[in-house]
Amino acid sequence: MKHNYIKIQDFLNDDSFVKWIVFSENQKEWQQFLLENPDKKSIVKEAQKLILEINSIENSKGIELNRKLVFEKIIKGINEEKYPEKPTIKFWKTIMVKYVASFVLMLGLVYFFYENQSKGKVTYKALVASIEDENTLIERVNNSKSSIKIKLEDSSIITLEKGSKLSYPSHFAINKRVVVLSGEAFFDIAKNPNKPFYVYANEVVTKVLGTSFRIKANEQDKKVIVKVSTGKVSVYNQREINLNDPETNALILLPNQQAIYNRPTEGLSKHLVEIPMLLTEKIDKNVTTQFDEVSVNQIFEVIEKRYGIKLIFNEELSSNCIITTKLRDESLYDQLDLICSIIGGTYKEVDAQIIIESKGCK
Amino acid sequence: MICTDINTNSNNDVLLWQAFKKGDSSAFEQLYKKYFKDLGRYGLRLNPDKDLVEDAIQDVFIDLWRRKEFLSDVENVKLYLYRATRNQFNRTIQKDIFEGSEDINNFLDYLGTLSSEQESIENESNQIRTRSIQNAMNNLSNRQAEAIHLRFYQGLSLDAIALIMKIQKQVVKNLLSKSYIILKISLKNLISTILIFLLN
Repeated sequence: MKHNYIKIQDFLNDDSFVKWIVFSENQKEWQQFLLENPDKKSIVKEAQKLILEINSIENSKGIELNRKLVFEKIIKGINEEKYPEKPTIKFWKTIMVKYVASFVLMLGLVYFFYENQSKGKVTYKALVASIEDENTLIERVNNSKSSIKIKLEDSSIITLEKGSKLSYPSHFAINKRVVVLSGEAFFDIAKNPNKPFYVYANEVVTKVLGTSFRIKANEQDKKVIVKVSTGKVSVYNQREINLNDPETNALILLPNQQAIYNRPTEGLSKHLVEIPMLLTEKIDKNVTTQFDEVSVNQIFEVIEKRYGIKLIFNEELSSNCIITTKLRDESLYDQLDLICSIIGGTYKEVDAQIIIESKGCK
Repeated sequence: MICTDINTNSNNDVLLWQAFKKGDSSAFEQLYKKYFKDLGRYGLRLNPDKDLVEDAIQDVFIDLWRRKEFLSDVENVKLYLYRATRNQFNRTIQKDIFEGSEDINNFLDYLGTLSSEQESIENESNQIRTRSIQNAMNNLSNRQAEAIHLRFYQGLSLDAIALIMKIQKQVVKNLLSKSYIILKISLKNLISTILIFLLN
């Protein structure tokens, strides 16, 4: 039918044609048409030009409308009109109503108290709002009973735990990748040294170039936790929202380490994770895990490598300790327990390192 | 389950709409965010007063939330919102802005003023063309401009425009073809003005 089109109007009145120009739909159909009807090329061009010009004129409008402000008004309007002003005098006299009223008043007070308490904290909502000034965000809320996986445009994969939410732009900025988390999620971030990846979660900012880690940041919790699985992560805290990255006082985290931010005291500290895991990619298959009559120092060095954790011990004293043991792929602490029981020592964690105290062996 | 980006297909709209009807406020907010800009531009086409447009959108969404239990499942959320916005304008503005006359007298007046804009001719011709279309758009009747906007900015089908504007499809066609003529005359006139300018 469209082969009979002669006037520009014929094209402008064709829904499929308009959708092709405006939304790039029906691409194949129209490219085929142009191939078969080269004589229609100029009139199609003219129609296309007119549509695009009108489109760009209309597109230049509306920038002055304030989306955020209007939405605030909408929320206010919805809340105000929840209870239409209809109560008669009789209604107010019933005893039931008095109970309800005092209950509502109590709720109000609790809410007021809670609101006041949470002031001064960096909230998910405030973070999203300040990032939205630069970029429109997509929000995913996990209301299901299990975790969900979200794939971002850079093919990073985020596993969002139940009851958590994540906001991210459909397209990242040129120089950085920014997301906002409330709740708990595991991040497996695609490597891109030119575009650092930032996770804003309450007061804590986590910056990486490409690695995997877990963040737990519930709005009502007293702690924000960042645990590293692979790679290197830098973590810093902010009292107020500042998207311009200071990275001063940042903690550098390595695998098996975690940063804990204590919200009441505003302190950020580095620790080992509860159960340090073997760093599979760092394990040298040629290094034996079976030790017969060797100095414990040698075993400590192997353990350091297997878990990527620094062990601090007195080399002179412990060099006398000769033991026989086999390292298994089990928890670091079980193995340290075993070794310490043999050499009569103790250990403790300080600043994400382990200090081993022993009086040595005779 | 791996979820890629939420795309703009209407399938997703229907899901959002259903969630919103069940009281999901985040679905409501997503619908709002998704359509605010386009509804705003449509609103500005109906009435250039920014505050009125913001008020209209505000009322549409407040109304939507309050009546959510009574709303039916709509197949085309976009269409529904455009109709609601248009109705809102009809309600708030005493004078019916859609009663504009369709004759092209306004436009002929405008053509007379074109020659006084010759200073702009020194600019690049494309720029002039765009500006000229813009001026011609301003001289379309309200209904013509509305139809043109829905057609070429929002990319809607003739049927959808008929539904939104509550007129017959044939009337939409008539409105559009009158607009084409006006736009065309405007462009032709522009070219002759350039010629006159050059010959002088």
